[in-house]
Amino acid sequence: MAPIELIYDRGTILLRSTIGVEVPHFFKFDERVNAFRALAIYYLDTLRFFKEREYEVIDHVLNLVEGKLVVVRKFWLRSYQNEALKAWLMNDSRGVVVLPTGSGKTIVALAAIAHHRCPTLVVVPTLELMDQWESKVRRFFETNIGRYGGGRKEMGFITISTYDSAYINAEVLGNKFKLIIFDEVHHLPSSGYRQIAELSAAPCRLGLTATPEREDGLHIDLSYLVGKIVYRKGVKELSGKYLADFDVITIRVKLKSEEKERYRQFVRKYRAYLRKHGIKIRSIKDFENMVMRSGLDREAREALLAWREARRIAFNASEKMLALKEILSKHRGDKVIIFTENTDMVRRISKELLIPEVTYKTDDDERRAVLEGFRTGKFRAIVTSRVLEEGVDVPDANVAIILSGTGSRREFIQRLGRVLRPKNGRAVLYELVTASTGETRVSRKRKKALGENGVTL
Amino acid sequence: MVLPSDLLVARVKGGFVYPLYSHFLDHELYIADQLIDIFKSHIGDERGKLEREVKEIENEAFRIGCDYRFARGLAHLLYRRTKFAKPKVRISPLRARLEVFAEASRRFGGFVLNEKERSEILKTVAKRLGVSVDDLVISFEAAYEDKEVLVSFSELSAKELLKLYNLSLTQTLLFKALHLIADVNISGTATKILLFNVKKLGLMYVAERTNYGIRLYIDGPASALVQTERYGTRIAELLPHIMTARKWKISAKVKRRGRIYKFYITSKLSYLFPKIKLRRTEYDSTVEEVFHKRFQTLGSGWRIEREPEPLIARRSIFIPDFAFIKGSTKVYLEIVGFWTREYLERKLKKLRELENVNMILAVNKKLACSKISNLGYENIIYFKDKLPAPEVYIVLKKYEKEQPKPKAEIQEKVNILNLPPEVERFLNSLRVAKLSLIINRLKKYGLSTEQVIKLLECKGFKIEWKGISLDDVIVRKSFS
Repeated sequence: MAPIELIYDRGTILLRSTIGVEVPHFFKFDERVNAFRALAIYYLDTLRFFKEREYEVIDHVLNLVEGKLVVVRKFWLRSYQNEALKAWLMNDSRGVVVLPTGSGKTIVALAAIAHHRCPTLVVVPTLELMDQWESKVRRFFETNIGRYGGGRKEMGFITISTYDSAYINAEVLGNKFKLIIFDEVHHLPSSGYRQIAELSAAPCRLGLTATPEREDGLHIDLSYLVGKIVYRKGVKELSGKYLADFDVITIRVKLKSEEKERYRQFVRKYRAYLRKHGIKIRSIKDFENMVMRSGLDREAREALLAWREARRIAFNASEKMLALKEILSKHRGDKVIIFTENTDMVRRISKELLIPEVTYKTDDDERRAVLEGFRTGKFRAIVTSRVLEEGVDVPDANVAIILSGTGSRREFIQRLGRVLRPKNGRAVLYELVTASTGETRVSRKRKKALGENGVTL
Repeated sequence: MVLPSDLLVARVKGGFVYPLYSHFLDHELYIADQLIDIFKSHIGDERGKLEREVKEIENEAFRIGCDYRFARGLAHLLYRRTKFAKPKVRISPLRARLEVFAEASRRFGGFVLNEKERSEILKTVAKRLGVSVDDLVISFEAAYEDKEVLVSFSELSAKELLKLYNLSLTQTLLFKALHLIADVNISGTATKILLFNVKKLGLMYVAERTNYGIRLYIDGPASALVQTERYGTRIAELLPHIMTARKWKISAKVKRRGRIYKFYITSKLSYLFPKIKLRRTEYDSTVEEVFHKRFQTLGSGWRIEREPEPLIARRSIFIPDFAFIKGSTKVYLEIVGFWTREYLERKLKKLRELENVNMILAVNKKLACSKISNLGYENIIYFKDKLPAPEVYIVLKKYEKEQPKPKAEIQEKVNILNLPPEVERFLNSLRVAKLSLIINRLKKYGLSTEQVIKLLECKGFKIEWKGISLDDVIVRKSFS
């Protein structure tokens, strides 16, 4: 019998010479090319399947990036990092490691690369994290580094890519690497990004996150896309010894009487519209429907604008600025990060208090200079919107102030994580909530996350 | 050009989705005109000012009964036709800002908390940089996007803008397409350019001949396995290429807010869209042109025809570049661009399915993506820069056998040649040799490859075509 040929075709595997051969169930017959086809993620399963049946296989799937990697610096893993690495290796180099922000997840991934010394693709959510990964790879290894994302498309022995770029270029990247690392892996299961994993033949896979759970429940697909959770430690188990202890202080801010009046007016208008049309907003979808309706329907549009205005008043109460100043006055000389949902508010704080801002609009040179300056202590405070949410190293910060935010639990933990870097002394997290507005509910919701992660207040 | 998905204005009904196209109604033209005017009149102004005025038009559009997303969509397209520049300032914004922030950290531990502290910092830094406080503040704020200056705007008419908008709406809808079926009625070259783009975009197609013309089922490799919008962005990019056809019909399945709808449109509505010209730029046809000329001067007795009709084999399509006709015999030639070994193998497999069709493949060695190996197909010609007409003629000769040789014609051609005695002597001494060697020997006498072949035929040499490379051709004196 002729040997079976496996060919990589843009994120999929094609089988040739399969006359009279049993084909695994994940292959489908593709009439366009008269051959069986499967997603590249089944590469390993395919090899295993034919091996068990003792078929001869000619394998053209992987076309690995050429090069080599030399480890130039010794790894010192903390005991839990070492345990995590071992657990992953024991699971055939597949699976997800869950560790709190600031506990050194990256070093586990670098140790995994050092172990395999093979072509590796690292997928990260932001350009900021790309920079950070690149400098860490340079610290530990001598190798050629490629980048995909931020206008660049260079393949290297270690290639670092954003999720967006990895998604767009999945066909090309799919058979060039043996190991694929997903930083902040909770992004992966979404309907687009998951294809990075599905169209990849990489046999070794590592996912890193502090919070694998997704509100849409799709985290159950992680074990198919990357592998099961092989190691998990929460904030509570590591705090004190490896992470800073921290306090959470909630500060209630009152609306000024004229603000209160306007807030009520807008809320009334919005609710009246809902009542009149019998609309109930129970989910994002309900809300989207209302936005769609507002395209031509004057009433709907006005109700929506009222809702936005009410929200803006609650989140940006002028008293918040005063409260912020009061908090700051206690922390001169500390390392402070201020988070706020609203970019106008970021600008206002930056301009009035002369604090460097970091938002998606900040140009690259300035952002790098500011983050670098914050690390070295040249700048002692930063105000930001969402850019610093994820995994970016801002060491030493010991005060975080949440001026306004969404109800997202992940966001809350990640922001908390900013001040949880190993250091001496305690960290403080302030949150400002406008009393008797919808914002109190939002705050309650996000703090539920603390309970889940075993943090006591 | 694609709009942000929240600006896609469409209606759904009975499983179909209909983008709400502009039909160039008065109030639509009015809004388009207003917006274009604003962009025109704000050249040299700050972006912030322009943005505020554009917002104003959005509100006005809403007041006169337009969807505000319509006005916002038009504005989006207009912003794409602008160039903004950073304002000119005394000191670089980056330097001004970093100095100010650093000074605030040094002096007050991270931030200023009142006006007094703030002006102290600004004064100190202004003095250090040798500018006034006002200039410092201007430089500081120059980093903000709304301080950018509109330097150019590429104008268009209101109707052109609305047509562009209609195209963008369609492309935005197709962004979430699962697949697309296109019926086109176009020439061979246009088909070739279309399919070239299908391939360039990493898409796949299955072709079928219909009464209408050609039907193409377009999706991507993974579409056979999972329902995916992955190829939607590329399908949207393909749309203008399809619209270059004389007549076209498009049907697609698109995902919209979690549900799948059908979308259908034909060239009957092409008046709604910009006139799209066939883009030949990315498709270099010099090889074809040069070959066409050279073959005609060869005097081979074969009539050459450019861009013959596409051939369909089962589910795939061949677009020959040339057809050669002699009597009742027709031979096609297709020039293959970028290729890999697998691609050629697939192609040959498909070729074998074309029964009763004579096809020569000309493969450009320079565009190889993998090594050439023996593919077991006799009608392949490899070339580098120019596709050599004589080599094609050599292959064509195989099809001539059944037909009587038009000897008179050849005789006539060669009589024109005034042969130097050295050539006569060389030919008389020749018994058997490789054709390539003879060509080399006679080059210095100004004889082209074509002329050498003619000459040999006239002098009664037998030319044995063992392969298609000139090295494989043996010339033998025939004593019959």
